Amino acid sequence: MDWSPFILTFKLACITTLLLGLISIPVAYWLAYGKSKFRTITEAILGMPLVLPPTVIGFYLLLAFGNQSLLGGWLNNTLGLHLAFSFSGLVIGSMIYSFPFMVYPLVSGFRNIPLSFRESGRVLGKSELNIFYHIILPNSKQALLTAAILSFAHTIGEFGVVLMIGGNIPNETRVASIAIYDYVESLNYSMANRYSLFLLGVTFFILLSVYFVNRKRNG
Amino acid sequence: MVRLNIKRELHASSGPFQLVIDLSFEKGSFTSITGPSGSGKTSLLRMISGLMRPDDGSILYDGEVWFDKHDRIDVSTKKRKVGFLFQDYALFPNMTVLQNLKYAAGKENEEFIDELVEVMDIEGFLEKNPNLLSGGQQQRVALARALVRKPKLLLLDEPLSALDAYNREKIQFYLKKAYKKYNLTVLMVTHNAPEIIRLSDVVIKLENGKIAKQGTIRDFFYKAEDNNNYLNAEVIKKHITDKQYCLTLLIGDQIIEVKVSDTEFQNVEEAAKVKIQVNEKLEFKTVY
Repeated sequence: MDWSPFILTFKLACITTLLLGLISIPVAYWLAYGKSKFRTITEAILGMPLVLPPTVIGFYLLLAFGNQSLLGGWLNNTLGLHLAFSFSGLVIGSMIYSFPFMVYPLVSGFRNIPLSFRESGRVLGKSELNIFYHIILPNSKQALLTAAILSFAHTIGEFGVVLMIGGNIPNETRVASIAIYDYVESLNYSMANRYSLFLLGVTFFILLSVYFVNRKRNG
Repeated sequence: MVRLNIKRELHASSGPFQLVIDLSFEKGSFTSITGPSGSGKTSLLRMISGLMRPDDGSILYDGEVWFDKHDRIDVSTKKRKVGFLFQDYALFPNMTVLQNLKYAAGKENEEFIDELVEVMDIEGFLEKNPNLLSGGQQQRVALARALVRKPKLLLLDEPLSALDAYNREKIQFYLKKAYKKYNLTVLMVTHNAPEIIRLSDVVIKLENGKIAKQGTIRDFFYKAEDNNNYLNAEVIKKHITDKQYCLTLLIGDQIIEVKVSDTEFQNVEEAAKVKIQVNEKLEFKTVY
C-alpha cells in the first residue's frame, strides 16, 4: 500500500489547521468584539464556503492562481510561486475552504466569555492584548479545540477544492480522497476500500481521543 | 473630593431616559447609591470607572480630570486606578485564587498580597479554583483582588446581593474593615437598607436617572416623614403581670413584652397592628 497520499493528507491538514488558527484568532476576536460596520459583511463572506459547492471555490482559485491571472502572474513573476497544481496552492485553497470551520467556533467561544471578565481586566489596569492572552484565550480552550478539530477533519475530507486546484500529482497534490477517487475510477475497488477504511479508522480515532481528553478535562 | 457632572442617555425596560447627575463626595467617604432597577445606578459606576462614556459633562477625582467632554479628555479605565467589585465576582476561572491576586497586583503590588490575604481571611483557599468556592468566599477574593492595586476609588455594584444573610453580614464586616484600614473612598450600589445603614456615611437615591433624595444616614432614614422611626408590631397577647399592664408583641420575627399604661392597655385589642416607639431610656411606648 502506498502511504504517500495519507502522509500528504495529514501534512496538509496539520499545516492548514496551524496557519488557519494563527489567522483566525485575530479575525475571530475582531468579529466577536469589534464595532466596525464591516463585521456583518465579513462574516457573510467568510461563511460562503459553507454553502458554495467546493468545485466553485476550486474553480475560481484555479483561475486566480493561474499564470494568466493578475495575482497568479504576479506571484509567479515576483515571488516565483506556482500555486496552481502545487502543495502550496492546496494549503491556501484548504485554508479558504475551512475558514468558517475555524472562525465560527472561535467567535462563538469569545462571545461566551462574560463581559465582566474583560471589564475586570481593564479595571485591573491590563491592556487589551494582555486581557486577550491571559483571560480570553485560556477561557476559550473548548472553542479552540472544537475549531481545530473541525478544521483538521474538514481538510482531511476535502475533495472538490483539492481536485480543482491540485489535480492528481503523486507526492505533491494526490491526497487520500483523490487517491480513493482515482482507484474507484480505475475500478480498483479493493485498494479504494483499504484506503477508505484506513482513513475512516484514523479520523475516528483522532476525533474520539480528542473528545475523550476534552471530556476528562471538563470532569 | 470626587466631582461628577454627567449626562448620558440610557435605555431601561420602560424606555429611554436621561441620566443627569451633579454630585460631589468627599475622599474617604462611604457613599451608597440606591433606587429602583433601571434608574442608572450601575451605569453611573461604569462611567466613573471609564467602562462607559458619558454623552456630556465631566468627572474629576481630587482635581485630576478623568473625563471632560468639552476639553476632550477621556482617561482610559486602566489609568483611572479604580477598584470595581462586580455583582458576579468576575474571578478568572483559568487561574487559582492566588494567581487571580498576582495577575491583578502585577510586579509593583505583589508584596501587598500577603497583607490582603490576611485581612480578607482567604489564606485557606489560595490554591483553589475560584469556581470551587462558596459565594461569600468568592466575594472576599474578589474584594481582595479589587484592593490589591491600591485603588483611589472602590466601586461596588450590588456586591452582596447574591449572598445569603450570614455571608452578607460577614462580607459587610470585611468591607468595613478594609474601608477603615486603607482609608478608601467607596461608592456602593445596593438595595439593602441595613447594609446602607451599617456601612455608609451618605446615601443617594436615584430615580429615572435623577437624584431623587440624598443625605446622611440620619437625614435619609430617621428624619423622614415616613414614620421610619417607628417599629410595626402586632399585639399577640394582653396580660397583667405583677400588677403591671403588659403587651406581648411580635416585631418582625421577634417576640417582646412591653409594659404599658392603663389607657394604652385599654385602647388596644389582641391581634391589632400597632406602631411602637423607643425613647431615650430604651422604653417602648405604643403609638396607636
